[in-house]
Amino acid sequence: MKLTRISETTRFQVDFDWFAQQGQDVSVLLARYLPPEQQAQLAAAAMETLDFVDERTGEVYTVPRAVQLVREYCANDPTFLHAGLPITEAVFRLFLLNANRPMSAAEIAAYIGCKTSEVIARFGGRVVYNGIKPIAD
Amino acid sequence: MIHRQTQTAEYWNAFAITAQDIEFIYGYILEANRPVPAQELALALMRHRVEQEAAQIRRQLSTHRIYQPKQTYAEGEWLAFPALQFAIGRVVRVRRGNNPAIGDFDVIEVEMSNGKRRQFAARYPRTHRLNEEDFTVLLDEKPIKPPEALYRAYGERVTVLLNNALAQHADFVRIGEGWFLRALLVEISVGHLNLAEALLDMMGGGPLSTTEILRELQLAADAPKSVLEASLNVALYSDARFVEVGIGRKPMWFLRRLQPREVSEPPLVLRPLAFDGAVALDPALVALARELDDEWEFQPGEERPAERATLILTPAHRLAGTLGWNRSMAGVLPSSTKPFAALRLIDEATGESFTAWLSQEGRYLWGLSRWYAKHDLQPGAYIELKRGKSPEEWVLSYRQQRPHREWVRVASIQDGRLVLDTAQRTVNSELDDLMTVFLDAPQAILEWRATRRYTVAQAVQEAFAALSALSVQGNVHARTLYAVVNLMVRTSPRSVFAALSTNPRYAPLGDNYWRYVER
Repeated sequence: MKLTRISETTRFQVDFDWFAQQGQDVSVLLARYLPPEQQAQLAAAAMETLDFVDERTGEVYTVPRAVQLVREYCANDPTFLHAGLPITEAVFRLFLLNANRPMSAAEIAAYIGCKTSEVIARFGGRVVYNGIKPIAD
Repeated sequence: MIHRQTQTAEYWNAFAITAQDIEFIYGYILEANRPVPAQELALALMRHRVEQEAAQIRRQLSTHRIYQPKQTYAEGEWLAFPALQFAIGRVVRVRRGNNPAIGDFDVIEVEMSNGKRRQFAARYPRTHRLNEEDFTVLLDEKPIKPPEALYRAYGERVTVLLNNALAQHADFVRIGEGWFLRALLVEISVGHLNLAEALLDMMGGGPLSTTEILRELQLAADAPKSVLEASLNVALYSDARFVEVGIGRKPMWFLRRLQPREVSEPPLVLRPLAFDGAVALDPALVALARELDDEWEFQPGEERPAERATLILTPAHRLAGTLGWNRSMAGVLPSSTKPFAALRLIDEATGESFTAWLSQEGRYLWGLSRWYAKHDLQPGAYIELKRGKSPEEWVLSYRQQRPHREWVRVASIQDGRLVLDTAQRTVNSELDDLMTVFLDAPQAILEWRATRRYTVAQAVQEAFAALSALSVQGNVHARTLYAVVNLMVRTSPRSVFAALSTNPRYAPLGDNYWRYVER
């Protein structure tokens, strides 16, 4: 009997495999953040992945190269992440900007400007939004 | 520095009860062979978790390499991962890492002990906190915070979680504040329960402790006394004829049908009424209200534990045979979650003991009428309550004086009206002069109270008029007014003072004295 509990210290991350499991193409999803000329590069980078290292655990998480393209293109765009976005979209964009580095519910809430309980309620339940899931440390 | 996980707030804030924990608790109670308080179980469980972690770390540090991103690893190597609560895993594949921004590094694929595969960095060229750690500190036998200190910080949460988890398991049975194993219970027959009822009946309903009842039942079972007591407690809890009324951790039993009515239904003279209207009181009146320590102006939780409490008997409590459960009294009596609890009081003057009932919801201690009558105690008398020799008893006393005659305030009912007078009476205890109101015929006042309905403002007006007639200057002290108003209606000092302050016909003279002003 394991009573799991999502708390403010639980870390979250985008599971990019989730999109394929849902029958979605993540490149199509990411293309909407890029202008047409960049979208050509996106198609070329669709199959390529990059390795990133978790600064806390040393764990390697693999991110589609397309995410890096979005990150490079949108990093300096102040309108990319703004207060008017729905929480599911805002958190997804946050993970795109930080190369899918795992973040705790409290950290996400601080970046997005919402309550930690909102993050836990939205992403800690059974329904998965934009592949954002708690991770087991 | 990475500390042991159990030394961190994060660990205990995310703490959840596991099946292994339940097994541990089962074994702990089995070994104790007695009902174990939830707090003790929580501490034992926390200690167990700390020891488990220490043992795991020792085991893993002795047989596995500690994972650090800067190191090089080969397939087949076993590693322990410090940031993952020292989970272990075997390297099953090594490949080159792919991220030009990082540089040249390896990615090792590790099969964890739970069968899942995870990837970690190796030969990592950049700084990483795991590369900086000195893991030999984890081998220290003594953790930085002992389990007792962790319990003080996080024990309350663990206790709540444990109580909830055990309540869902049929193997465990709750007895008062403790837990026991259902499998260890001895069967208590209906015949035994009938005998227990007869025994309590003979004692006027009780209260009797489980030990006292058990002594008379003479159960033949071959089991330790603690198990017999636990079994009897469970049987008594499940039988509606009995009610558990102990104020401490030790269960005390009473017959439900013989419980005094005043225990569940507050006496008429104690039913509180508030002044209808908000008013900012003068600071001197606020201070006086606090000094009077009325039970309806006390916020439970603000009391400080104390050995003794001194209370001034008020007219309402003299009439009801009660004392208020106020800040002072709450400091002496333990807090109880039950709607009412029985206490054994010892009369310090005679050594006799008697039962009184505490209703925290009604904020009174009931059952003192005989004691008041026996010692002829009048409103204004100083009453003292202190802890007794055993945790189940408290000693009640008053400040005795050699009987002498004194001029005092006397209240009586004449022609259907409350009349105040000054007359000579025998005084046998130290009194608060300003709150003294002798009651020659308490029963007559009780009957009068049952027929009269005052608002606080009306009672203040009538009491003020009666009191001002007793002094040449016509001055009335707010403290005396509070005492006399409470003969007519049960209300708190702030309500009395609010009614006084908002009425333009009363003017303050200083030192909480007031006088009537013609307008």
